[in-house]
Formats: sequence, structure tokens, C-alpha cells
Amino acid sequence: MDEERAWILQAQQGSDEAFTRLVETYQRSVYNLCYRMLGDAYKAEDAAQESFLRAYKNLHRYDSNRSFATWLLSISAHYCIDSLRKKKLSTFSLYDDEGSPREYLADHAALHPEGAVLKKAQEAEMQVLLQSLKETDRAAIILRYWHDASEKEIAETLGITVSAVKSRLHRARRKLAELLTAKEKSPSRAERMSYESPIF
Amino acid sequence: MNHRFFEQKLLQDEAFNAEEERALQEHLLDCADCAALAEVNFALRQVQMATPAEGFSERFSARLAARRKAEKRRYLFGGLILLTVSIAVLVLLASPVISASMASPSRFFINLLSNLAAAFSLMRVMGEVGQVVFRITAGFIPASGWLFTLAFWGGLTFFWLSSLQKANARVQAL
Repeated sequence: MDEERAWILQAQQGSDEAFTRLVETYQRSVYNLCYRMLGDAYKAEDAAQESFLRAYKNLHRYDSNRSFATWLLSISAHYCIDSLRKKKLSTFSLYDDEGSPREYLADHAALHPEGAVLKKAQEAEMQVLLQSLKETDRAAIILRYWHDASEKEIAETLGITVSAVKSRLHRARRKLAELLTAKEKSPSRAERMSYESPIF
Repeated sequence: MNHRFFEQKLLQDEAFNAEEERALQEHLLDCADCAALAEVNFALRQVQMATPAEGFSERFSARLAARRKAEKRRYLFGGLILLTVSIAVLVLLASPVISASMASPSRFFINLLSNLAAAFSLMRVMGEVGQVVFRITAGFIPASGWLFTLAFWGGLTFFWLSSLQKANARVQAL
């Protein structure tokens, strides 16, 4: 933590090397948020890079009493929400432009290939379902489950109240459950039996 | 423990104790809505972080350098445009004077000197008038009035400066 403060201070004084250290520390968090928000590896890379550039440009305005991670993720979340609203990304494909499945689970357990495949399928399913949520609801869910953020931290990151976070999480879970039920009922999933669900 | 109890806990993704867990498992067999919610919560708790491709920080450094270069180029280009426009406007404004001085240099020089002398004498007169007016009004206006005026202008300046600062901060805001 002290090391991080030192890097922030040095970066604020113009050290590119110190800022690169911060980039190395938070690249995964920022990239993950962007990827889960935008649902596309290429756009996520671009958004993550842009988020770091914005952070670099506004580093002098960073309040050291606040968590750096929260501040950085806040920049990233707002960037993604803005670009989603601008571009109105309505569809997401599980396959990239060349038709190959997207590779985003970098460090999966290779010890149990069957389990890994099942988990990958669940992840892919969740990623598709996520894209159906409203931008801010999606950001709240990502911060809660992928970043282990508390409701207070989510509120700080998204610039909303804690009660708004609660209601957004509430709404997002309900929507995800509805989508999941609808998917289960769809013909392509008809053969899937209820006992196959991971909770049983 | 009824459906509402389980639904609320699942919507808030709260932990269940052992007894509640047993009751929940029974409830899930009959309730598709709660089963879907439980499945969503379970799946969300299993998620993994996506990782960027190797060399992210190097690509960031390259992008930062490119951005700086582009910014420098933009400033230079902007400065050049400003300089060119300023020179063009100056030449346009000064063209009658330049053409007059080219036509008759001695006449132009005499005119210039007389204009300068007139401007200088006008300034002196205005200064003297100002001094007289100040001497007269100083007697009429009490010290508190001066203080009030000074405080008013000071406050106005402070308000103006802070507004400028706020506007500047808003423009730079994320």
C-alpha cells in the first residue's frame, strides 16, 4: 500500500515509470471490467488503455484519501458506460470476427478438462446474459462479483447512493434469473434437465 | 420460511444458515423462480477475471507516447495557425498606413508625430481632470463608503475568479 502511494506520488510528479507500475498492478482489474462491460476483447483492450490514459491525465486531481483502485475503476466504468450509450452496442457474439470462440478465460484449471469446459460454458453464458442488463446495473454486478467490491465501494465507483446500488443489484439478479429461465425454456436448451443445474 | 423469505434472501444474495439451506433445497424443487435466482447467484460466485493479452503496459506506454506526440503536433499546428491569422489581420489593418507611408514618407512621418503629440497631451489632460475629480469626490464620500466600494470590488473579483476556477474544473472533469 505504501509502495502504491509512493508510485502515485512519483507519477503525480511526472514519473512515467511509476505510472507504468500502477498500470501493471491494475491492468487485470481494469481490463476485466471493460471486457465484462463491453463483451469484446478488442474493445476492452482499447477501453482499458483509454481508462489508464484518462487516469494519467487527471492524476493531479486524485484524492489520496480515496482508494486508488476505486478511483481508477470509476474512470473505467464511466468510460464503458459512456461508450455503450454512445455506440448502443446491442449485440454480443460468443465468436470473434474470424468465427473462433473468444479466449478470455486466461487461467483456467487445466487439471479437470471436463469441469473446465463446463465452467467455460457457464462463463460464456453469463457473459451473454450480462449484455442484456442496463449499463449501470451491469457495472454494479461486475464490481460486486468480479471485483469483490462492497456496496459502498460500488456506490463510490459509480457515483450513486448505496441504496441505489442495492436496488440495482436486486434488479439485475432478477433480470438475470428471468433471462436464464427463458433460455432454459428455449428449444435449443429443452434437452437440459433441471438436475444439470450447478445448484442441484 | 416461505417463498417470499427465500426470494428476498436470494435477490440480496445473502448467506443461508444450515437449517435455511436445507429448507431452501426443498423449496427449489418446487419453485422455478427461486431455482433460477439460486443458479444465477451460484454462477456469479464462480466467475473468473478476464486477463489482457501479454504486453499491456508496453502497449500503454506506446499509446501514451503517441498521444503526447499528437498533442505536441496539435499545439504546434494551432500556434502556427494563430500566428498566421494574427499576421494577416495586422497586415490588413496596417495596409492603409503602409500604403500612405509608401506614397509620401515625409508627410506620413509628420502626421505620425502630430498624432503622437495629440495623444500625449490628451492623456495629460485626462490625468489632470481625474486628479481634480478625485480630490473633489474624496471630500464628499466618507471613509466607510470607500471601504464598502473596495470590499464590493474585492468580493466581485473573488467571485469571478472562483467561478472561473469552477468552470475550468468542470471542463476538465471526467
